[in-house]
Formats: sequence, structure tokens, C-alpha cells
Amino acid sequence: MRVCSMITDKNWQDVPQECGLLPRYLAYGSADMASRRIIPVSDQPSILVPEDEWKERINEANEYRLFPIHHMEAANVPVKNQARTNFCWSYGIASCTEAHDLIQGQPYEKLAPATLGHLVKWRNQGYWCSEAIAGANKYGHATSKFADDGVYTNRNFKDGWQADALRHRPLEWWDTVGSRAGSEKEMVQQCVSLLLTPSPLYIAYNWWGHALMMAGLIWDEKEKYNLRWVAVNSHDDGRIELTGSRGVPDEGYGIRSTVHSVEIAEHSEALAVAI
Amino acid sequence: MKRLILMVWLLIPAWCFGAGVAIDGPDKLDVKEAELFFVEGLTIEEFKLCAVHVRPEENKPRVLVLQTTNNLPVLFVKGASAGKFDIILDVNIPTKYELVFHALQIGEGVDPIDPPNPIDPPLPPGKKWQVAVVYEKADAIKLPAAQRLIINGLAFRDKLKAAGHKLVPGGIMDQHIVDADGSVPADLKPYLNAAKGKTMPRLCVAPIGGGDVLDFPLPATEVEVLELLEKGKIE
Repeated sequence: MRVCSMITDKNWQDVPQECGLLPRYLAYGSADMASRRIIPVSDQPSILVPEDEWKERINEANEYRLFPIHHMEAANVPVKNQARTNFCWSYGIASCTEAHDLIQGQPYEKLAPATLGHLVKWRNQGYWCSEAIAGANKYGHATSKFADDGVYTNRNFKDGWQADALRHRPLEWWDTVGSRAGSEKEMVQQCVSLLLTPSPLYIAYNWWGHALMMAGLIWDEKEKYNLRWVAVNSHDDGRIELTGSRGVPDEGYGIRSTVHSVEIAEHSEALAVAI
Repeated sequence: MKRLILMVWLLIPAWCFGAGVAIDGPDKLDVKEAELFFVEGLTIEEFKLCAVHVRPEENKPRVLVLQTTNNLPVLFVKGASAGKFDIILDVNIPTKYELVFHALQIGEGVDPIDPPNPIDPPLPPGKKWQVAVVYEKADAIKLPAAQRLIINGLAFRDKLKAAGHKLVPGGIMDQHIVDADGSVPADLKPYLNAAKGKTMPRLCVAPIGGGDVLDFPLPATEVEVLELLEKGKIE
């Protein structure tokens, strides 16, 4: 179910509807979100980048390859394929964790989104972003050595996947105000600012019923807000772009930190450093 | 009977002047542990008018004021380093005027803090280095553009590699990074220890093949980092 590589306000109705996302039910800035380690961006307003700096900062980020998409492309991250599953909610988080690890200089490890399927009792169904985040924070995703893409049961998982998953966990997230609680413009500013930190964004579109990862921005003065949104999709397509109001996510969560997952055997040289 | 009289006597001020403001939360946290502290005696509107301080400033825990939607004023507190701290809620609104203190012990004792290096030792020139950057992620957006490019830009990593140096795996690290057990990662510990207690961000280097970690304030530009690694000093 590949989609076109550029989704706009004109062609969005041609994009096939998905059933992977349940609409947000927890309020921005609520104690319920805080208990899931999701902190509102407005709690640290200093991270917001003023609109008059966007052009310079976005162009700079593309020139010096700062965005998550650059780190993924440099590491030759393979495209993900959720096939006929409704697990986009897990593919989006797995991509964010992978990208954040790459930004930290960790070697690339492909994660298996199916290993978070226990959150929906191994049924092929959609889920809430907030609950997916809470589950990923607690249980993590095992690597693709343990499970394949495009499945939703644990029938063919290899032993040891649960222990491996604990090594690949996000820990903390930023929350954005979203389409219901705030204005579209406020949402755009928060998303742009988080991407510039650079933080991979776990995003959701209600019109699409779909969750995925936002990984970059392109300054384009022909488009609304002068932005082309660069996302990473999970239908065997990878990089796609969105523009206009359709590009502004309804939900957006910026990953703040992940567990350090490098196995010591992977770089014994570092151990030669005096401890 | 005496107890009853004592209770009534103690409760009279509360009846006369309204319930006091209090911070309800644990008085001990582990380092890196996070907890919600509920503020009692204030409405959410009153709470938004208050200021929150933590003393002492050095190594203080992270305290975030949460905007709750269910009329529960909440502080999110996360320990950073061991020590004794006071969370102070400065209530300064028309109906209430007081400072509310909540004593908090983070960890078991006080972390020893390395004295800052008065003079950074020069690097032996001509060597090849394992390179790491330790920084505070929450403050990274406020760093000068050129330093942000060192920390997050692939262009700098390519230049480092081309010059024969090696980025430590996972070596672009927040100073609070943990592994799956919640502990300081063993492979990054030498770099984190070298940078501990110093002003972030830090550039930490060790010879390829092994040796002591040396650390410096992160130079202002990519060019200066490469100059430091090649020539042993920034000219």
C-alpha cells in the first residue's frame, strides 16, 4: 500500500485510509502524559525557535546534514514495510528510536516493530500514540535479528527477544500542543523547533489514520508556512514529503532520550580507555 | 480529651486563614529518578502565578511546572546529582503570600565534584584520537550555531573520520545518559567522568588504542576542534 511520494492539500484524498491510529485522548500537559514521561514543549519555552529564524536554521540543518533523515540516509537505513498490519503506531516509534541512536553516534541496529505487538495482545489492530510511547519506554523494541517486518504475532520470534528489547528503549519525550488543543501555527512552531534540536518526531495524522516519523524539513517559499515536511513511512517506501495543512501533524512527540544500547563487545577499543 | 483540645487548637489557624499551601511528594529520590509532586492549597490559576526555585543551583534536580487540565497543580522533579536541595514555591498572589519549602535528598550523599581544570593540558600533536562530546541536551538548542553543528551535524563527523580520528560509538552523549539497567554505561563512563561537574559541552578525547581521557571545553567551531586534535592546541 505505497503512497505517493508527495502528499499535498490537493491530492491527500487519493491516499488510502489506514486503521493504525486511535485518536488522542490524553490532554497536552496533563499529569497522565507526565506519568508516561511525555513533557509539554511549553514547559521549556526556550527551545522554541522564532519564526524569523526558520529559514536560516532549516537551510543550515540541510547544508550540514543535521536532521534525522540525514543520519538515516548516511547509515543506509533500509525502508520498513508494515505490509497488511495496522502496526504503524509501532513502526513510527521504532524509526524514532533508531534515528535518535544514530544522532548520538551509535551504530545502526534495525528494530523490529512487531515486537511491541504484545501491547495489543498480538492482534492486528491500531493503538494510541501515548500508550505506544508508554509501552516502548517500558518494554522497548527487539532488533530485527529476532523478528521480521510485516507480522503481528510472535509465532516466529527468536528466543531472547524480550531481553534484547530492553536495550532499545526511548526514555523521555516532548509533547506538542496538537491540532485540538492549539492553533495550527503554534503546532507548526513546536514541530519545527523540535526537529531543529534535532529530535525525531513521532507523528500522527487523523485524516490518514496513520502514525509515522517526521525526520526533516525543507524551506520552500512556494508552500504553506514555507515548509515541506520530510517524513519516513513504513509501507516499503521510506522518505515521503507532505505540504500544506495536510503536512501539519495532529500529534507530534519529540524523542528526548533513549537508552544507550551499544554492546561493549561492539567497540572493545573504547574499553582500552582508562576507567 | 487533652488530645481533642490540642487538635482543635492546632486546626484553628487553618479554619481562620484557609488551608496552607504544601508540596506533597517524597523527601528522598534516587539519582535520575523522576517523581510527580502535587501542590496542595492552590488552584491551577493561582499555581500558574507562582515561581519555583531550587537551591542550591549547582547540580540541582530538574523541576518542571506542569500545566494540568484537571485542576491538579503538579511539579515534575527528576534528580540529576546526589545532594540536599530545597524546592521553593514562591506564592505571591493577592490572597496568599508565602514561601513553601520542600526538602529533598537526592541519592545517598553528595557527589564529589571534580575541580575544574584551571588550565587545559595541551594534547600531544600528531596523534589520532577517539572523540566524544558530552553535553546537556536540554540546553543544546541555545548553543551557538557552530557548536550545534559539531554536536549533531554529519558534515563534522565526516571531517573527523577523514582526518583519521574516530567518533566513540554513542559518543555524542547527554551528560545524564543511562543504559538498559538505568546505570551509567560502562563504555562511556571514562568520558562522562572526565566531564563531570564541568561546564557543558565538553570535548573528550583518548588515544586510539587506549590511554587516559583528556577533556576540554567544546571549541567554538569544527575547524578549531580539528586544529586541537592535529596540533594539540588552538592557535
